[in-house]
Parts: sequence; structure tokens; C-alpha cells
Amino acid sequence: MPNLVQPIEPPPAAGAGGRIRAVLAGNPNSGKTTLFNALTGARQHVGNYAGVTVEKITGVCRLGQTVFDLVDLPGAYSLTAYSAEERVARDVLIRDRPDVVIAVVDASNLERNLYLAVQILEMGSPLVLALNMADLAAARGISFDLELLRKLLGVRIVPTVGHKGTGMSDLLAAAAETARSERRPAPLRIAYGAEIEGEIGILERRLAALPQAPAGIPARWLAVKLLEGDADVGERLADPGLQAAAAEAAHRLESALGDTPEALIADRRYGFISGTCHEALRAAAESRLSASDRIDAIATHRVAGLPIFLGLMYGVFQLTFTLGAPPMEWLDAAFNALADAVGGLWPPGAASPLRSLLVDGVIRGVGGVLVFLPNILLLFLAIAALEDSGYMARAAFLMDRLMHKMGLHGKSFVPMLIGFGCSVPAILATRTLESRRDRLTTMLVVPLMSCGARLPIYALLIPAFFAERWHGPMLWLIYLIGIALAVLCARILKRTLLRGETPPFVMELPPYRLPTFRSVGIHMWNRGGAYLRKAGTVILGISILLWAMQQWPGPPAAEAQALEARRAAVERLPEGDGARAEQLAALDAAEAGAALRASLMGRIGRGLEPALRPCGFDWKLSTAMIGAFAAKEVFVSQMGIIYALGEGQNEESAPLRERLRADYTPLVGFCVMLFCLISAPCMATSAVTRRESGSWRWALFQLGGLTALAWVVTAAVYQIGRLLA
Amino acid sequence: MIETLIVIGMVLLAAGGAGFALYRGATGKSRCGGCSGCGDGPCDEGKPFTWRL
Repeated sequence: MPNLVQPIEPPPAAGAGGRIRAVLAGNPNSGKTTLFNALTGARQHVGNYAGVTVEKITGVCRLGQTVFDLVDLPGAYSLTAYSAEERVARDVLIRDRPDVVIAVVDASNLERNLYLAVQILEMGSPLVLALNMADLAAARGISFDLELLRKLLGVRIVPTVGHKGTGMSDLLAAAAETARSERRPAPLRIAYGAEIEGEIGILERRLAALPQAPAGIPARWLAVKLLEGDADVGERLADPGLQAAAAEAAHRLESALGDTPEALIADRRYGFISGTCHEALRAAAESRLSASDRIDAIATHRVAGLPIFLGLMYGVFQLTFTLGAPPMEWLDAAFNALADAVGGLWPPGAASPLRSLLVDGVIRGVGGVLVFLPNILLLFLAIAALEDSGYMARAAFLMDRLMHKMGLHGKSFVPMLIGFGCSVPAILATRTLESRRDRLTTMLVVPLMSCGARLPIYALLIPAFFAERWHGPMLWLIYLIGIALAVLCARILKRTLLRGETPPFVMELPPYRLPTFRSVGIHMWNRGGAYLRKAGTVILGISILLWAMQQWPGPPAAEAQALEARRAAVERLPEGDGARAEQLAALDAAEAGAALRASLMGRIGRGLEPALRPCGFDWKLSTAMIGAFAAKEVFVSQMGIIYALGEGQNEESAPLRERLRADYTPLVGFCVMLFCLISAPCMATSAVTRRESGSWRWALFQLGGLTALAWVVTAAVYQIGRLLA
Repeated sequence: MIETLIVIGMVLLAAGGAGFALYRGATGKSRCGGCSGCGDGPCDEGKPFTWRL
């Protein structure tokens, strides 16, 4: 918020140069962001408001020759200064003085949503009301007298349906008209009653007497804010006499009316809104129980809710495997063909380092990761559909109850759900938690929610070790173990290191909507793009490095000489001898194995092996675990490279899954998944934990704690499994 | 000989690239791998969350 006593420069003429500066304001869940996306499409930029961690999303759209510079204000319920979002919204309206404010309201929930719009009108900002989700309101039997509503509020009103893009041109036309209007509208005056009005009048006069009266901000609005006890406005007006007068006025009102001015003013505003809605809104009796309410009666049922959530998750994972299998096999075949084609550029049996790098390092390494693209796309398609339908908010609501029982903040589950995608934004999402202890607790356990980068590991190992009918259930089990461990660890942290009270929290349930192909498609496209980008950059680079680390420095001279001597002996056998080819192939494999064991990676793996042996891991798996710290998918590429190199010059390579199945038991396969799920988060997650917690200590605690937990759980499962087997 | 030089060049390039990417990731300056966010710049600029709960 600017210093209010500083004169504010007059804004440029609205629409000068054909550009209009517009902001979108609205409650969370009013569909504001959907509407913003519908208006701007992909032409968006994301930044931060100065000094705060509130996102500033800007975009550009056009109507005919008119260009709109749009700012999507953070979702807010009012213009008080209680939260960073509300303060930012208020600051933008005061400081930037946009040409027009587009107030987005949920038409199916008009009464509550109008509170913010009315406050903006009280500031005298030019405003257009987007009556969003108009279809939903109509479906609920709610109808509006738009002309009357327009007269009552004194603004242009446009019904819109953000997710279908309905009403966008009309909205922009109304915004342009409002912005180009010759004079700024008079601030909305709500009658606050004789007592309050009397005190407002006194404060207004004092404000007018200030040597530098704030320009462009109605004195009445400032007086109301001072009466509400808005410390931010009081401080910035920087007049101790005025603040004292406001405090006295508030005291007088409280004595006379028996409540705080803030509550009294809010009551009057709601009274104004209620009256407006009563006049201009007609709701059919049947709308009392909407379709959303009827679905919620089942979806958020105390008993049935959780099994429904688990069942839906099960369905999602089953879908990921069953529909993902055919395209995955096509991609696998394509990469094998590519490997054969590239390998075929060299004479058969030629020991070429470039050939090995391209075939074993790049194609087996990066290709091994890329074949799981269909699974990734399907998982995120399903999750996006659930999220867009409004169901994910119900999942959070269900877990909210459970989390509260565990002494945790219900809001904590929202970042955890985001963690299914990626831990990094999930940790950033903990910013929504007010309590630092809750925030730290959530941040520390978020990596236990299985992120998208781990999916390729499961997609490789589950079909390798388990029968087809178990594919979906195994993936489901892994995700459930992650959730259960996250909740358990959070509870332990809250009862030990991060003990503290959990503030109450009300979770909003937006109405159910049919997801649109466009919205779900964009989500899937973004996810697929990020996966491809990562495979083509970080994974490619690491794969080449891993390949190099598995090539050099080569076997010790004595071993190399012994193998050389054996080869010379075998090559002396007659050409047509069947044993000769067989022995040469065995020798190739022995040479490759010796080179691998003696390589840098082999030495690291063998050094680690004793520590990971209780979990059932040999040196090959141990090396893959190290690579996974850089990026989880590297586990898959490392296994691809290690098996490609380990088989030497063998042209007929079996699929990686078959080779894994031959080397390890299903118990080891399960333990690998468990270890990857729980152990050290990736490097980016550790970095963001450090940044958001403000200390390396928490990041190291997370890293060490999760790795130790992974070791204990995996070793316990492996050892018990072995006893039972 | 040329092949060996090409391989060494590629490995050095990969080491530099991966090292740079990991350094950027570790200092929070890179795009977050696997992030389902906006795909529009580093997280410390405040990415929007694709999940809009």
C-alpha cells in the first residue's frame, strides 16, 4: 500500500492508445481464474507482488482494436488488511487505479460474493460485475432481474460462464465502456445508521483538514476503515491525532451499540447486499438442495466418503496401467528399433565408445524414461478431471476431518494433494498455512506423497514383478503407504518438535462441474511437456554422465589380461564350431561385467552395498538410488544403462523388465519402490525446503530423516518378507 | 580416435549441462523438474499452482 499522504499521479486517460488497464477481483472459488484464463488464454505472465509471496498474474486480451492489460488479483473475501492477499488486492486498487475493475461473482452464491464487490464500489472504482457461473445458477433455479440489479448497484452486469467462455465479448465490451466513461463513478454509499454515520462525518472532516489529504481515495472510505480499526490505513495516514479520534469514535459506538464498529459495519453491508438480492434475485424452492448438495451427501459422507475416495484413486491407478500399456509398448518397440538402427551403423561386434554412448547411454537411458510418458499423461488426465470436477476439494475436505483428529491443520492436506504432482509447488503451497509450525510440519512430510517423477519407477517395477491383475492395486498401495506415512510423521512431529495449537479452518466446497476437454487437456499437455523437457535436458545429461561413470576406469590390468588371454584362446577355435560363438558371447558378458564392477559407479555401488544389503539391494540398485537424488526418474534410466552395458555386445537384448525379473524377487521389487517412495527427496525439493523454511537445518533434517525412515521401513519389510517367504 | 574425442566432448558437455541444471535446481533458480505448475519461470517468482483447491 502506498503512503496515502503522498499525492497520487492522475492515471492516464482510460483507453489511451487503445489499451485499458483492467483488474479481475473476486472471492476464491468464484471462477475468477477460469474467467481470466478464458480471457487471456496462454498470454499470461506470473510474478510476485513486491515484498510479499502473493502471485501477480497478468495477461493481455483484445476486443476489436482495444487491448486489455489484465491483472488477476489474488482471491479475497473483503478488502480488510487481515491477509496478504486482501492487502495486495487493496493496494492494487489504490496504487494502480485501474481503468476498470471486473468483479467476478459466483452467481449461484451471489449474496456472499457481493461483499467484496460492494467494498470496491465504496472505494469509487469503476466496476463491471461478471455474474459468473450463470449456467450453474440457472440450473439451480436462480434467476436474476439484471436491470434492477444494475440500477441497485449502479454498475454494468454481464452474465458469464468462464469455463465455457460464454459472455467474454460482452464482458470486455462492458469493461471498455465503463473504462472510457467520462467521469469516475461516485463511490457507493451504504447507510450505516445514524450513530455510525455521525462518527464517519467527524472523521471525514478531520481527514479533509489534513495538510496533505490523500488524493484519489474517498475520505468516507478512509473514515470507515479507521472506524473498522484498520491498522494499516491508520499507520499509513501517519496522523496520531486522527488515529486517537478514530479510537474514541469506535469506543463510543461500541458503548452505544454493544458491538465493535467492524462487526456493525459488516452487518450493515450484508444488510445492503441482502436487500439487493432480495429485490433482484429469484430462487426456486427446489434450488435449496442442488445437484452438488446431493452428490456431496454421498461423496463427503462420514462413513462412505473415505472408501469412495480410495475407490476413485484405485480406479485412477488401474486406468493408468490398463490404458497406458499398449502405447507404452509401442514406444518401447520404437526405442528398441531406434537402438538397433543406430547400433547398426557400426559393424557387428565392433567395440565403439560412441556407439555404446548413443545406444546404451542415450537411447536406453532417456528412452527408458520416455516410454512411461503415456502413464504420466493418463495419471494426470485423471487427476485433472477429478480436480476440475470439484471432487479433489471434497478429498481435501474428507482428509481435513481426519487431519483435525490427528491434531493437524486441515489445510495441510491441500499441499499434500499437490504433492501427487510435484513436491516443489506443494512445498510452496504450504504458504497458505498461517502457523509456522503447521507449515514446517507439512513441508517436511510432503515428499512422502508420491510425486509424478516416481511414477516411471513404479511403472517399470510393478509389471516386472507382479501379475497383471495386481498392477492397479500395487500402485494404489504404494500411494496409500505414502499418505499414511505422511499423516503419521506429521502427527509425530506435531507432538514432539513442532508442538502447538492448530487454528480452526473452514474449507470451501465449490460446486461440482463437468470438466472441459480444454482445461483437462491443457493440464495434461503441461505435464507431458514438463516430462519431455526434463527427459531431454537433465535426464539426458545425467544419463550420459552415468554411462561415463560406468565405463571408466575399466577393469584392473591383471583381470583385463586374463580376459584377453581367454579371448585369444577362444578365437583359436575353428570358425564353424558352435562352442566358439557360445564362449565368445559368454566372454563378452564377462568382460562387460568386469568393466562395470571396476567402473567408478560400480565402485560406489559396491561401497554402498553393505549399507543397503539389509533392504535387499545389490550394488546395481544402490547406484540407481544415488542417481535418483538428482531426479527420481534417473533410477529408471540408470537401470536401463546398467543392463545395456552389462550385457556387452549382445544384439538380442531382452526387455529391461524381463532382465529385472530374472535378477530380483518381487519382494526386492516392492522394497525398491518403498525405498524410492520414502527416501531422500530430490535435490530441487531439498532446495525449496531450505528456502521456504529459511534454514538448511530443516532441509537436512528432512533429507536425513526421510532416508533413515526409508531404510528402517524397507529393511523391516525385506527381512520380514524373507522370513515369511 | 575421432570417436573417442566426440565421446569425451559429449560427456564434458553433459557434465557441464547437468551440473548447471542441478546447481540451478539446488539454488532454486531453475524450472522445477516434474512441476505441474505454470511452466513459466522459476518457482521463486511465485508459480501458480495447477491445483486450485
